Amino acid sequence: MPIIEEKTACYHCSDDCEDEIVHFDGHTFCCNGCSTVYQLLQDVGLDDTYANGPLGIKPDTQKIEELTYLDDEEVKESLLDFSEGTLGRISFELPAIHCSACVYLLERLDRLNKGVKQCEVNFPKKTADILFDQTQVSLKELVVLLHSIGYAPNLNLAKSSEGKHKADVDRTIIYKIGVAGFCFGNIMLLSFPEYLIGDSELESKWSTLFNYLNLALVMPVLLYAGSDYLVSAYKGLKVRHVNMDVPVSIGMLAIFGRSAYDILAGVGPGFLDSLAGFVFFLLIGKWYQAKTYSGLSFERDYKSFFPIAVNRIGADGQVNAIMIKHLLNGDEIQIHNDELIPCDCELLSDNASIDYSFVTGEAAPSSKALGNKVYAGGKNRGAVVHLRVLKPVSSSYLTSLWNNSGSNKTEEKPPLLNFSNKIAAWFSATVLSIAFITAVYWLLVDPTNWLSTTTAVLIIACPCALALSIPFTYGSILRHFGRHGFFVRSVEAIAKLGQVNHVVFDKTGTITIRKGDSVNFSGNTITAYQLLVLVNVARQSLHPLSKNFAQVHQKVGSERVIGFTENPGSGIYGMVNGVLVELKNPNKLSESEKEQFESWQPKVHGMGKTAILIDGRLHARVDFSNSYRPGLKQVVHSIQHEHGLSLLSGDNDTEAIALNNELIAGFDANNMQFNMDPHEKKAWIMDKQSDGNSKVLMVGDGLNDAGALREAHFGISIAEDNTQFTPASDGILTAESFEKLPQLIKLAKQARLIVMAAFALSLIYNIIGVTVAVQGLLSPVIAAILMPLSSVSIVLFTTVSSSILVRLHLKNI
Amino acid sequence: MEVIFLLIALSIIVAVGFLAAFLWAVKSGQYDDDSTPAMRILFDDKKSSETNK
Repeated sequence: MPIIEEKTACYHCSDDCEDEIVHFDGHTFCCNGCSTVYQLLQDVGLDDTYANGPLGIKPDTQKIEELTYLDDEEVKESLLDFSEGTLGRISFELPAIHCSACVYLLERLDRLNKGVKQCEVNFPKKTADILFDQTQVSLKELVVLLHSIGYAPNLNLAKSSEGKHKADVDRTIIYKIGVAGFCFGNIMLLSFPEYLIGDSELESKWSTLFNYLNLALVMPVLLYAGSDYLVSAYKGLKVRHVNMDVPVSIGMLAIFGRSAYDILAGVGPGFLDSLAGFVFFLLIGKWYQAKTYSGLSFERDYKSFFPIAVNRIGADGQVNAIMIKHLLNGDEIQIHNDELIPCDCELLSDNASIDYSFVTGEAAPSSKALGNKVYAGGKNRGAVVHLRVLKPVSSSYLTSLWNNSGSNKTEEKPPLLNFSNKIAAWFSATVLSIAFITAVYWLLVDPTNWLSTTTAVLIIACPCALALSIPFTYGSILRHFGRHGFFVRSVEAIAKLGQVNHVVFDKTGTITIRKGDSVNFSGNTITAYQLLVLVNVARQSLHPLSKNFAQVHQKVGSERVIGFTENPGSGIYGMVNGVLVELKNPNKLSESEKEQFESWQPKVHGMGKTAILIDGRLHARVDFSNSYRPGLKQVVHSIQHEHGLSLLSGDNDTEAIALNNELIAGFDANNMQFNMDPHEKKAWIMDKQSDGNSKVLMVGDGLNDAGALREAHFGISIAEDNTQFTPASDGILTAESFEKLPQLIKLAKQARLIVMAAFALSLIYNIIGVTVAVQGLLSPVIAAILMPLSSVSIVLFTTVSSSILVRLHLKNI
Repeated sequence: MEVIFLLIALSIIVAVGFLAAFLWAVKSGQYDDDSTPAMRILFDDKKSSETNK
């Protein structure tokens, strides 16, 4: 009988119960935190939350003390959506929302605290709108409550600076589609007798009535639903600019004019169903093209990354929380472990370890000493430090990346718009000329129906197929990209992606996995027991390398560490069961030890080298090297095949050899640059694009790439998960989809082909239609059939072709 | 057959009524979020009648 190793999983968060197992009420939990939440929910009758399994999140009790700034009136005012009498309303971003149990639990928040009147969750946006009685529960208590059940809200500077609850979602396009659809359907119905019965006495009796009804029904279409097109064409023509709305408006007005005349003069039924249908399909195209992703933002700047308030130490030694926008030069502030430094400061504590990886890309934290300058955006990785403010938040080195007006990025026309304008101009000119020629011809040959034939040409030459190709092709591709983990800001952006010819990668966090450094030992062998001791000592440390080390070996059991000491810059040591273990900075070793250390060559050169001493003697060496994303080799190879490829890193060059190695990445040695700060990256891209032909695709993550991402023709931020901060970019690529990058670029380029094919198809319709029209044979029935037929077939063609193309390229990945 | 005047008039009124209902429903904001309500209807609230607030 096989032995099945039973792993107990926590009933609340579903993690394995590693270190301790807490038993409560017949269930097992991984820690007291989880069992407490379970108890809390059970007490108020909410244990149905577990109906479909564990909730999957851990409560977070870390930062409660740091929430005192929420009692400040000014902070409250900036965060609440409204506050009237005793009621207050606030909308929280809760990135931990991930399943229906979350929605269930949060919407019953009133059971956990009587002060909450109502809580409504918006799942796609991951927000919760809470209405609460301010006399019964304060904002701070609300936030503490959310932390305690595991839904810590995202409270950052962006939230407190944005205006009050944003204006209503723009629904006008939906109203217009509704009205246009309504009128289209009814006009079609009222036109059926005309088409089906043909000449008969029945027809002549009612036809006048139906025609006038149609005329009435088409007014909302012309004046409301289709008004945008008319206005836009007019505005365009005023500045001598032909855009796609010009031929559309010509068509609309021609149909309306001709039909109105026909109906009022009693000579015919007009072509109003074509007009209404035409506007209806165009509006659907417009709506389809405007797809947005709720829950994602392409506009984030440093404000989404910074906290709202920080602890300031007053002259009397008292610590108060104040909003960071109120910080003045000379203020002394207190920054805890893992907290962000909000502005450029001078270090007042003896030493500190500051992690700039997000800001400059340097993977290892830098040690600072008393008096050193510390920049905004760095995270404190160590004990509490005191700093003196040198510059207010808005003028820090970091924010200058955004306020930099020295951008040479020319305001080039968006490529799709440019392209469709050109086609529109050509199309209008051609149609008008054909109409003119027709008019002249018939005037000379047989002037009886010259006007009706000429207007027929203007009516049938429908640009609607042209106007639908772009929205439906790019709209479909946008949606397919989204399904494959690549979220693009707009259809215009996809067209820009199709234009790139040079690709630039950032290193840290983009092609490396941030939390996945690999650990390599060299020197004397490490026994399992020694590893156990090392990991436990590392777990006590706050240094990112130690944390990485501990995480790589997280399965190792737990032991008590005695006498743990951490000296920033030197190393850490501690004792477990009588064995003294030290992880030491190799630069602090004695000469002979250094020699021995250097003699141990690791298999892979890395950036973080650390000496391991056991019971005082140098025992081994550990190298931390970047762990690269799976598929990096193929991605580099595919891209280098078609485009230029460069690497711009803010980190040092210890990984250069590895990156050059074909087996790992295969970057060309000449195309790699290291130690670049954010401004230099931006300048590099600016320089590259200044030759007029290069269009750069920049792939980065973190604030350190923000300037470069904006400068590049197309910027992609890589996100490990939805909750991570992504700087402003044109597209967000999830980490798992990194391998698909070359194919995504190729698809963006090929989208253009589909549009061309759709144009060709619509041209066929137009030629058939115009041929019929110039001969004076156009009847309303033919127009009513041809127009929807062409529109629907273009829509089908573009969407199906896009699906086929996407499947072709992305099937095996 | 003249009754058709009445029929058309009535049907247009009904149809316009539906259009008005559509516009009103969209305006109320109920379609802004179309995935969360789907989750909400599947929740059981067995205990709500028993617990005292």
